[in-house]
This record gives sequence, C-alpha cells and structure tokens, in this order.
Amino acid sequence: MFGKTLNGGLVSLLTLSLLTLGFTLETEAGPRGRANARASINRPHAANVQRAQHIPVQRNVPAQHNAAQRSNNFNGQRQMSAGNRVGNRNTHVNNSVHNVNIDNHRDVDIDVDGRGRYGYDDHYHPIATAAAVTATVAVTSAVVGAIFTPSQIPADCVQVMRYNTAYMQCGSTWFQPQYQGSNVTYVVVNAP
Amino acid sequence: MMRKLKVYCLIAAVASLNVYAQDPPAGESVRNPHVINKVIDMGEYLRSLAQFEVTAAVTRDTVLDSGQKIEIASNNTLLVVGHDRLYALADGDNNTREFFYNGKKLTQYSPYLNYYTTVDAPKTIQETLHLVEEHYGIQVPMEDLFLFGSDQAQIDALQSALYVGPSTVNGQLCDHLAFRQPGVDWQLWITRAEKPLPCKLVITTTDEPSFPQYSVVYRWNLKPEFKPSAFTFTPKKGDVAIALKKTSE
Repeated sequence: MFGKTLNGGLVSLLTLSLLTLGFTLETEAGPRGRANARASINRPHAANVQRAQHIPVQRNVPAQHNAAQRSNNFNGQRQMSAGNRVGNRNTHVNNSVHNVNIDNHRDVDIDVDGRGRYGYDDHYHPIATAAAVTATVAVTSAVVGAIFTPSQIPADCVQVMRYNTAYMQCGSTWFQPQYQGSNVTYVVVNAP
Repeated sequence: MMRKLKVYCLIAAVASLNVYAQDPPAGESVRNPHVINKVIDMGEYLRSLAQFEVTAAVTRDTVLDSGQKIEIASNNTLLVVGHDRLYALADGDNNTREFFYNGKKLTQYSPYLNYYTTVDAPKTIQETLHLVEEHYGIQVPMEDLFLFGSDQAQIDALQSALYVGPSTVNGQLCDHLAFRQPGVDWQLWITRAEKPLPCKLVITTTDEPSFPQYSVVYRWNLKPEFKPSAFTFTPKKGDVAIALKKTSE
C-alpha cells in the first residue's frame, strides 16, 4: 500500500526532474523491483475493535453438508483432493555456468542497504558499480523536495554531517536521508 | 450384450451428471468453524504468553517490472516480554532493520546504514503496532503473531477456511490450515503439541498478477534469555538520527 503511493509520487517527481534536468539516473538498469509479497494478513487495529468470537460448533451432531464438520476431531477429512501427482520432474539445474556476477554488479535493480551485510560497496551506491561509472550524472540543481530511492542516487555521493544532520552530497546536489516506512529514501535539499 | 453395454453407459452418464448437479458449484467456499476457532485459540494463546522469543526463516518474493519473481531471504528474530517490551530484527539479503520498543519509545534502526529514528509510542505493543502502521507505514516484522484472531472484522473477511491435513514442520507434527480472503490466500500450520504455537505461515498475494509469496517458518523459545537493555536503543558511534516521514505527508 505504502509502496504504491510512494511510487506514484516518485514517478511524478522523477518525470519532473528528468524534464528539467536531463538527469540520467540509470544507464544499465536491469529489471527493477516493482512490488513485494505482502508480509502480513492482519492489520494492526485500534484497541476498541470487536474481539473475534469463536464460532459455535455443535457437538455430536452429524454434519449435513460439510464433511469436515462431521466429527469433533479436528483431524477430520481433508478438503483437498490429493490428485496433484507430480510426474516427471523437469527441474534440471545446470551447475556448470554460474550466472553470478562477482564484480558486484547486480543484474536486478532492487533497493539494497548500502554497505550491506555482504560488504559489497566501498562507496555508497548499493547497486551497479559498473553502471555508475558510465552514468552521466548532470545533477546541477535537482528540484528541492524530489525523492529518490537508494539505487537512484548517483554513485559518487559522500555522507556529510552538518549541524548534527546527515546529508549525502553528490557533486553539487545534496540529499537528506529519511525513512518512509521501513525504506530509506533521499530527499533533495538546498545545500546546508 | 451390446445393448446392455449401452444401457450401462447411459446409466453411468446420468449418474455422473447427477454427481455434478449435487456438487457445490466450483468456487463455493467452505468455512470450517474448527479451522477458524483454531486460529482464534492460537492468537489468544500467543497474546497470553508472558514472554517469548521466536526466530524465523523468512522468504519474500519481489516482483520485477518484467513480472519475474525474485525470492529474497531474511532471518528474523522477535523477542517479546509482557505487553510493553519488544525487540525485532529482520536480517535480510537486501536490507536489515531492527526495532526496539520499551513501552515508551520505538526505534527503527538500519545497522548497515547507521540510520535510526525514534518516535514516542503508546504503552502496549498492540497500540504501538497500530500507531506505527497508521502514522508511518511501518510494519514490524512478524506482527501477525500479535494479531491472529483478535479482530472480528478479520475473521469476517475470511472467504474460506479449510483443513488440509497433518504436516511435519521442523520435525514437529502440525495441522495445515488454508484460508482465503480478498487479495490474499494464506496457509497456517499450527503444532498439535499442547501449546498451540504456529509452525509456519505462507501468504500469497493474489491481487498481484504473478502471485508473490511470503513464507515464514518459526522456531519458538518460551524461556528466552535477555538483558533488560535489549528493548532500548542506544546509538553507537557513527549512528545518525534521520527523519521518519508520516504517511499523511
């Protein structure tokens, strides 16, 4: 839910900044992460919601329709046919070619914590060092207030502390990190 | 002989037609009350625990804009004491977040980025989960464990509740339950042991075309060891406080 609103805002802001700046964000960009599987079913609720009630289950009454209600024994009849026999498994994994790029260049564009637990990067940019080198980053005066994801900010940024506040300085453009939910994003700010 | 065979065929055909007529139409839902009650019982049991630690192997699909699914793994830990202390860690391939809650403040921390943010929080875990999701869009990892079977609206939303069968998870005998609700199919495994703890949870997002999944296998410890300081965040050298954007902003 959050991701969607974020993306919506991002797209418009991005388009704006692209139009005004010719700001090349990604050059070799591979397929980009678009959505995530939901990680919860329940929504945290206010204290005053109606508490969930047990459904009364009649005891020792034969069920009319639902076979699984037949007995009190919870381990009743299965409601699923076991007909999904798996025949020939065609799972052939070719181990001869490791399609894993060990020069830190990822083929997908999913936001990653910089300096993550695998220690990929010496400099900040979480993805694609190769792409970053070829990127023509002409960030001269990015629109203040525009929001970028970690993989969208240029590679040559350095963290600078000013007045007890963290900034990412990328050439003459300054970003300020913030949390949006549990994602870190970067807002373009005036030079402090 | 031939005629007899024909008659049999006819009877068979009629019989099979009959079967079709009596079967519930495809897609009609079954809401097994035993299954629903089992979820409510499990939720109430979890909320009654004085303390627990659960470690979990989690996988979550990310869908690329090409539609391809990529599975991202993380190891999660949740340590809970009473209704007012919580520590959560989601240590993933892509990012790592820690949460500290001591009944007064909640901190979200990114150890590899050295970023943290602290907000005032209500007195209980339940209220805090509600507030941080509502105001900031933060989901504390594995927050479902506090919420199963607590809200009647959640139970009412279930379109189906099925008993699938017994299943062994981590060497433990569990009952496999399956549910459907708008946008989500989910499956829950609950141990048959005396304490009705969840063994495993799988959530399939059905309103995304490629049906991405989230899966978590739990390991429970009801007598965790912890330091009282585990629930309060203390910044280390190099840690920087950053802003937490409100969802309404």
